[in-house]
Amino acid sequence: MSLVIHPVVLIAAENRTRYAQLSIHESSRDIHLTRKIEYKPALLIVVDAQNNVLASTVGTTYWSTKERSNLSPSQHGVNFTYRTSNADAVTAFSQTVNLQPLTPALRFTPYQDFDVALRNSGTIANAYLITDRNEQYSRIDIETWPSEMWRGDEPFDVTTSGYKYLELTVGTEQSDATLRFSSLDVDQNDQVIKLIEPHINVYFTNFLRDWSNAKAELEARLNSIESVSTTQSPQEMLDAGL
Amino acid sequence: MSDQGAPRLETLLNKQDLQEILHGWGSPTYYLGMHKYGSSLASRYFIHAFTGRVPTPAEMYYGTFINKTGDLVSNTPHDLADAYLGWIGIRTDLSADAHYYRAGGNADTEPSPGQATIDAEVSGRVFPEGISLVKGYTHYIRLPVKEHHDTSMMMSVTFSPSAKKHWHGGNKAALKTAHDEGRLVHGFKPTWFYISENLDFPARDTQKVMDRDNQHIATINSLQSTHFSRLGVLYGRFGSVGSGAEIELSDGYENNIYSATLVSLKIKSN
Repeated sequence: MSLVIHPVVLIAAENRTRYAQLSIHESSRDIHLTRKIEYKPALLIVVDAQNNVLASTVGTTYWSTKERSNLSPSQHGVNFTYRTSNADAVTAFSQTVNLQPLTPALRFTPYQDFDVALRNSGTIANAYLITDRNEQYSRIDIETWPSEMWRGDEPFDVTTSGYKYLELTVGTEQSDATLRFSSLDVDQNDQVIKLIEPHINVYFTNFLRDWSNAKAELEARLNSIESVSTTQSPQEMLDAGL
Repeated sequence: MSDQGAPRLETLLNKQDLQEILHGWGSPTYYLGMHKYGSSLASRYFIHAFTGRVPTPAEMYYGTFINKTGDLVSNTPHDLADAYLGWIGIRTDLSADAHYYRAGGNADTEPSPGQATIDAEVSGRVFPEGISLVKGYTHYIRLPVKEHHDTSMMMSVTFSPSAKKHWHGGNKAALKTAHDEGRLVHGFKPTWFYISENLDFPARDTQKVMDRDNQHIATINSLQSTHFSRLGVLYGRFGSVGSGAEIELSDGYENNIYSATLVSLKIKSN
């Protein structure tokens, strides 16, 4: 092993309750320039294939704390069964399900009670989370943002706009997209479109390091223990004589 | 729920941004005691030291440490706390005791008077993005960028060779007993560390794995995420001088779990 910089550094560096921010918080009017994500005004726009803005809302971005990640269980979750006693029974085994990496999420919390105002009718193709690094626009009032970014009078191409943004995957409630909607076809007469979750969480699973093999490595270490299995049920382990 | 990989991150946070985030955490501003203009705090870093087997990166990422018989002692698997030697802190204000390194700047910006001894030199917070700090107090120290710096250092600490510190807390008495009984597998010395901003040990869930003969063969510790400040930000190894370890010890590496003299801590972010 060599040095490992853990993704929790994102919180340590940017959260207002941690030393990196506390140590300068009343000393600099420019403290906001030392943060990239935490407490930034952000604009969420949902566009069709021609970059027409279908829906938009404002809110704030954070690094979320106090919970393990909620990544795709199949890609990142580690499950294991282990023996807790010498009883010759299934009850001698316990299971731990969906252990997740301790990596923080980039969280966007919309201000408007999670309804996204509709600007045009059409079919959702893409979504972008645009952050205001300089904190000149409002976290609450979308009218303070340049109207061409959110009003939908003309197509808006964020990729050439010069703003910092993140493209979000979009899908229906059944999908595993970042941004899940009750419907991808929106009719402006509906007034609002519902997001499925109260927050939007995005995880960067290869931040600072390639963690692609971490799940397999953790499972291999668990499976190197005689009476632990990441694949077998208690009954299967009992039947196998473990 | 979503998993967005690094390539898509570039439009929001590019390499420069990430370096600045790391730099902002690892390069403190200096605080020289209470003043009336603000309530800013000293930065503190706690080096938490362990002995025994060095965990894998996957264990660190998940916060799940899987220890088997022989990973610390020869006769039983250990809990994370069993291998804990304690902490040594670095703080950027005037207070110091046997468990803290005091931090100052380099010679040309040394924050004297009133700070006769500085036993750690930490590279100060510089602002590659050209930010100006508005000083509310004349003692506010900001170090200039050193010449010929083309490496972005996340953290750069040089320790005084005359400042020996004691590992505070930990499980040293039991480790000494195991050592005397010849059960300590990886030697009587610190082997790995993590740095957090909290002196407290992280809370964890513990599962004991038994075999068919009811022998305890493994202990699985999963860190709880309820106190994010207790989680390790940096993980690395201890070694002797010249070993290339992330923290080299001029004293306290061989046959010493009680105290240490640190040489330097250099963490690159590029």
